[in-house]
Amino acid sequence: MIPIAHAGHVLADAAIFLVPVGSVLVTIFALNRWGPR
Amino acid sequence: MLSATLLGASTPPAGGAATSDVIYATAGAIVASVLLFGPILLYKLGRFPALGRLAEADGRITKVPGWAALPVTVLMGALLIAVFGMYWDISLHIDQGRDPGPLANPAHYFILAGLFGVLLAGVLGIALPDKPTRTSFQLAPGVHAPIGALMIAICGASSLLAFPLDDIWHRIFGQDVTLWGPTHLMLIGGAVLSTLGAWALHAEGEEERKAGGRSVARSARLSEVVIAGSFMVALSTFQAEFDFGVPQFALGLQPTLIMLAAGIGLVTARIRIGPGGALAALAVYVAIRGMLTLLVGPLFGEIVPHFPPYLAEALLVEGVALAYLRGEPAAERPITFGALAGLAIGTVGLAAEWGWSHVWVVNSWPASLFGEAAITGLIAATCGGLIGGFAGRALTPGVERRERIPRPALAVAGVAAVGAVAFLIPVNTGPGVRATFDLNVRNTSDGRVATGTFRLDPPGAAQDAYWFNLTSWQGKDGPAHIDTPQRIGPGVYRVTQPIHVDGTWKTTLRLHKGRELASVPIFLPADPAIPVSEIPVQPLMTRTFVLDHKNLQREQKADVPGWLTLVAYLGVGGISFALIFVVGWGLARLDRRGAGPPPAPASAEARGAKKPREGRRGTRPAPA
Repeated sequence: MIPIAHAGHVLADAAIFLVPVGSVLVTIFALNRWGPR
Repeated sequence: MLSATLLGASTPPAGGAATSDVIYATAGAIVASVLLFGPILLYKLGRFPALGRLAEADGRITKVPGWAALPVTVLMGALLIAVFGMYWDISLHIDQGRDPGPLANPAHYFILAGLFGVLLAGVLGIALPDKPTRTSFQLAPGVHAPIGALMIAICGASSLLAFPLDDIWHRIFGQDVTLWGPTHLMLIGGAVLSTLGAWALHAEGEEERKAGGRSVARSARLSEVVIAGSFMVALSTFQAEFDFGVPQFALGLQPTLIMLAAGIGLVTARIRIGPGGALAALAVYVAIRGMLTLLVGPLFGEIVPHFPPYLAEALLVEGVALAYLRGEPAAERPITFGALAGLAIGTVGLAAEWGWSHVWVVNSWPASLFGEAAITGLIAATCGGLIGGFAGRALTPGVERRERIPRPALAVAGVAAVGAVAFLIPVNTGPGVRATFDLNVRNTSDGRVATGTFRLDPPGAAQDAYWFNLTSWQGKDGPAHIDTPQRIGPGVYRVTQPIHVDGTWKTTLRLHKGRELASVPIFLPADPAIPVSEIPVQPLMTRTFVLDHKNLQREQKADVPGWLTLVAYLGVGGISFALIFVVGWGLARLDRRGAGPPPAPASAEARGAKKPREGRRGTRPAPA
């Protein structure tokens, strides 16, 4: 089982994936919302 | 207490990465994201035109539009880095065991950088086009993502997702010291399938070039051959445990996986590239795998990765094309061609690989394996040929099809191929064979080693075995050893080479026969991080064979609830199948819609008329 104490570790772990992929998704969202038409 | 702490400090952790490593890796991901994706965003905002000029320059060399050329070039480079890291990493784990942490193993940097590069290639491919194609998606105003680039990006994201999932997996279940851990397969699978994304992107670029009235240049063909060869390398990565000679799964999987890879890869290459395509792809495959073998084995001094030559299979694919197609494009009849080529691969090709296994494979394929491997190999090759037919057909949009294809054919081929592999996965301990050793254990300059003899009970336990060897691995001070004992009497065998029985060496006697995959420990070290005690060598000892995984994967935790295991496998399996679905959907979109520029907007009159069916537009001369 994953103890609660490991939650921070797991979050930091997930950032390896979330930072690059999230930045791409946020950019696409931002271009849709505020980008040049 | 103190000694236990010290011991713990000297053995690598077995249940996930240290938090400091995770923080460093996250910081690295942030810096890499800014450095790599920042310029792409600036380009999209019109503030970094140099990226566009770089893509155009690549396009001038490869003779496809820059938006297709540069991402494919980046992807090929990234995959080369990743696959080098992968084979080096496996060799390090076989020879040295667990590493002190994810950042303490130099090979991991190559894998991480390579997989980051896969995502980068996909994002580049999404950002570079400034106008739509028939297959592109508009993700935002001015962002027309080609289907190939989307496939690459999603594959890259999936592989990156496997990194944190792998660490979480290790924390829950313990480290799985095998290539075929679920998250390991997810990591590799993303990279493997990204090659199909590259091929789709190349096809999209080539179709646009043709729509502009320009012919396919020789350099574009060369670029495609590199993609095809990379696809063969990618398909072969699943066999890596067998290539190194320390497989943890049934031997029948090796011929089955080779047949599947040959069927899919070579048939796709022949259909898409034309005459000589299978052989050209093979040449690139041999060059890459040969380089990897030389680097990892002789140069780095680690255990040597072998590889199947696929030569007979490539010749068979070319031969079937000559005999069956008689000069017509393979893309016109890709499925029947794929099925026929698969049948040839699964029979004659399998026989050729069987012969090769006695030339340059650690665990050669015995005659006793033939019964099951002939069946699963034939199924895998035929299904692979069919899947290759579908993939090749999708990658050649605009070609007139001359055969009707039953809709469920692809699904049936996929299920049968997975079934052939899944059939071979379950193994058991067997009837509880026992081995009685009479060893001469002595100290040498090479450490503590043992020689001697042993007797099996029952004596015929190793008769017709698929493999029966002494494996010493993870000793840190040299490559792993796999030695076959010499039979000197009924059930009596002699150890032919001194075996390591000290330090971190793990030495077992392994027996695989039918569904039985078992081993008996001769020496296993204490490992406080797991924790397990030492299983010492004794000059005279009788030990019973246990399930091989128990000796090879001591890090696996035994006290994990069954429901958690089920949820974890379903979760990772679901992500992997979703990825396969996305790639299949992308290829189907390319097949259905064709490629090239979108059709001109319909006139007011035409809008009122019945909409023509999509696809089958813009036929082009296909490679014969």
